[in-house]
Amino acid sequence: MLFNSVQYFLFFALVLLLFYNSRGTARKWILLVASYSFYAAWNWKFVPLLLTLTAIDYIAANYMNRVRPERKLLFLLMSVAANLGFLAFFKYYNFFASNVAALFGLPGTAFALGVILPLGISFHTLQSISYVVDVYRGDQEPIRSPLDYALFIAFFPQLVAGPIVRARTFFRDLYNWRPPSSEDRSAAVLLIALGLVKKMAFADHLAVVSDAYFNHLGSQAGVLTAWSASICFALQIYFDFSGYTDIAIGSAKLLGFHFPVNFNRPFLSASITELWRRWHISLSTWIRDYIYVPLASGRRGDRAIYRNLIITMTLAGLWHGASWNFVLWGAYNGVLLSVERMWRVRRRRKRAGAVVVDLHALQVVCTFLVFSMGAPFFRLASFTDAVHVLKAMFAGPPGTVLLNPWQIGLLLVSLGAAWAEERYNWFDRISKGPEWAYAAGLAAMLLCLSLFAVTDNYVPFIYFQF
Amino acid sequence: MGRPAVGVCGALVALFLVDAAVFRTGLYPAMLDPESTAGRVEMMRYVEMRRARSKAAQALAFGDSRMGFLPGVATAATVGRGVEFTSVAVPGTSPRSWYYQLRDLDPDARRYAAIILPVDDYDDEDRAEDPADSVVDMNYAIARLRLADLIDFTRSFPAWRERWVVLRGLIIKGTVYKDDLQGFLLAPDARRRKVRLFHDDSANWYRNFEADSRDVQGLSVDWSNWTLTPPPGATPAQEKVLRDVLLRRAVPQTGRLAEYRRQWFGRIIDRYRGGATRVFIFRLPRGPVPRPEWLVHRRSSSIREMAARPNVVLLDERCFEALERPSLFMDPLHMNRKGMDEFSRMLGEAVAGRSSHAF
Repeated sequence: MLFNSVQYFLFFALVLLLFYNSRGTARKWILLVASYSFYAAWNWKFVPLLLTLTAIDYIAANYMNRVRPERKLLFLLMSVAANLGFLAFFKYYNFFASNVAALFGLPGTAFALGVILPLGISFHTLQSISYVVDVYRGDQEPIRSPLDYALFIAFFPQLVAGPIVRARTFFRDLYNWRPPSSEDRSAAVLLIALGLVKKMAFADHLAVVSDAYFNHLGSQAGVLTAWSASICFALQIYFDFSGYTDIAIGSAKLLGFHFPVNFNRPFLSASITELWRRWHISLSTWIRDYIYVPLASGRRGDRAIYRNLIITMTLAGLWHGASWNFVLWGAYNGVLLSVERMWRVRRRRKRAGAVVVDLHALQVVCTFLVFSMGAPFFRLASFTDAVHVLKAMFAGPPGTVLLNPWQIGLLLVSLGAAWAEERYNWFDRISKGPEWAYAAGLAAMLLCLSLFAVTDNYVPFIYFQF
Repeated sequence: MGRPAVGVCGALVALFLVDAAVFRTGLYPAMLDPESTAGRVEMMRYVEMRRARSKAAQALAFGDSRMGFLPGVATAATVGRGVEFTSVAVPGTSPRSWYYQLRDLDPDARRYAAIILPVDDYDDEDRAEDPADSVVDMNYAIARLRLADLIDFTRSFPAWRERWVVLRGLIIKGTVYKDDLQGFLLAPDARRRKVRLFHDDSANWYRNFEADSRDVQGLSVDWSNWTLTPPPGATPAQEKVLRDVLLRRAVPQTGRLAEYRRQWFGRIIDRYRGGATRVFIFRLPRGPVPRPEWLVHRRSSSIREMAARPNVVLLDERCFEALERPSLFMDPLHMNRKGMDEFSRMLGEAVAGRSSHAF
């Protein structure tokens, strides 16, 4: 049941109807049953896995609070091991097996198993780990009610592809539930419409362009061709995932839950560091809090910082997918962050009294292009293919721009909208503004959907594969 | 929902109004790509509405790509019989879209003395696809569909998924025109020039249309062994098409084609009930090598049922059997130039022959 399908909206309408016509605990049960139904609609066979992980983390967190402090760690390790164990088996076993096979000169499939990746496992695993670690650190009270905890893990708007919601955020809303205000409802509807536009009118069109290039490598040579394909894919990931997140946040908002912003116009960033602060924020902050900060603790000095950045981003790359290309993509971003930090530190030392030239727009363009250079590693399964694209970006015939004029026009409109949002906060103004402005904004989005949405071609959400 | 509900309703109304202003007023339909599905139908309509009609009785033919009917040849072959033939046949169209085409071509059902409708067979043979579920019918008829057709047209699709697509398309026509619009945005000037060119010249092109002169001589099928001998020199792709069409397996007969024909041929016939117009139905030449009838046990003949209606003329089923030869077809479905000439002449004579007392 995809977020951009009619089935989802029928399902969601039914959930809203039942939710708002019930009270107290019944509401929680409705959401839990709806969430498990949503999950089962994809593959019911993985429902027991979700239940098992939920049970392990629930028990571990509750026992942590009852045992002596020195034994708390045991429960934490047990819970983390269970979560990472399942993730490792379902997501990384075949990757590991193929590398072992390669070491022994055997075919890549020698030890492979027909493992299906359970939907959303990468996301709910991180969510569970953050919960038990927070309980261990004393930052979060263990949740006594199994119903509440199960709902935290399985809550359907965020179950499949995030955002990765922290326990304190979710339970703040659950335990102090209030019906969404009129402004919240307005914003939620607008956010869902915006998400649909991002996914169906932008990401899916860009997918057609980038797929045509990446699925038939070698058929279109040229520097401009390779650059435009990589840029298209970078934009596709953004529109796809940010569109998904908008629908998730909007859906949750209509149910009275407030998820944090997950994308904050990352391609308007003037540096890679800023981009990663604005891109998949729930993952970036998770990585910061649960990998980078623990790694950094006790180790001082620039070298340690650079090393930790690279390690952290490499792990983030591996989290995205079980392939060396994802590892390289993560490492590439880690190196970029380190180099940028290094440069910033040096510049700060030299800068005293120097004349500062404002190159913001140029920096934004450069940041975007540097980020897009990593896109082939994200998109392609084979290292050789990714290197082939990378080479094509810098050597060879000029080639052609893959996007046609109206697609470029549409992207310029979206750039204008993002810039205007950055500057004037139009989304909030429309949500809270007069009804005619709200209706006009929504109508513009619906018109864009009706004229530009790709409806005859199934393009799955990219982050579903993670 | 309060405020958001008002906003959503306002947005939907605004969307509908903008969509209607562009797509329901003729503003955009006039710019349709003349070679797109809807564009072809609209171009045929444009040509037909601007055609200088003689005082002779007007006979209008419908059909899809198999309707190799050349109205000029038919009119020439029946000179002095008082009939002028014309055609709005468009490849890919079906009786459902013909009905909506006809409704706008002849709003008061008096413009034509004869409506000519082709069928593959008088008996009803269900194929793998249900014709009632063909959403492309909406794409052909979209410029002719009105809001008043919303329920009726949507209900004519049995599957809910198709109903949803059609309902959405009928309310917000932009969802149907979007591919065409995106093509237009790609090169607006080129589109304007193309439309102008088609407006100026397409009547001549249709009048002087010359079909392919290839044939499939040498093609034969051994039905008892289910083997096909392709014509000499046939490419693997051509051979595949021949096999796919001629050696297709029969599917279980459910009666859905009969139901579809009763509905849409029935509606066309009903438009002219009590009037002077006659609806001619005939069986198209089935192919270079007709499939034996024993291959499928056909359970009904909706077309023969219609012959009982006073304004329906059912031509002899075997009228065009003489044309079912490899020398007159360019592939398993379509007649070649010679076949089309011969067919047009024969159909003209058959209709004009019945018209002397029917018109």
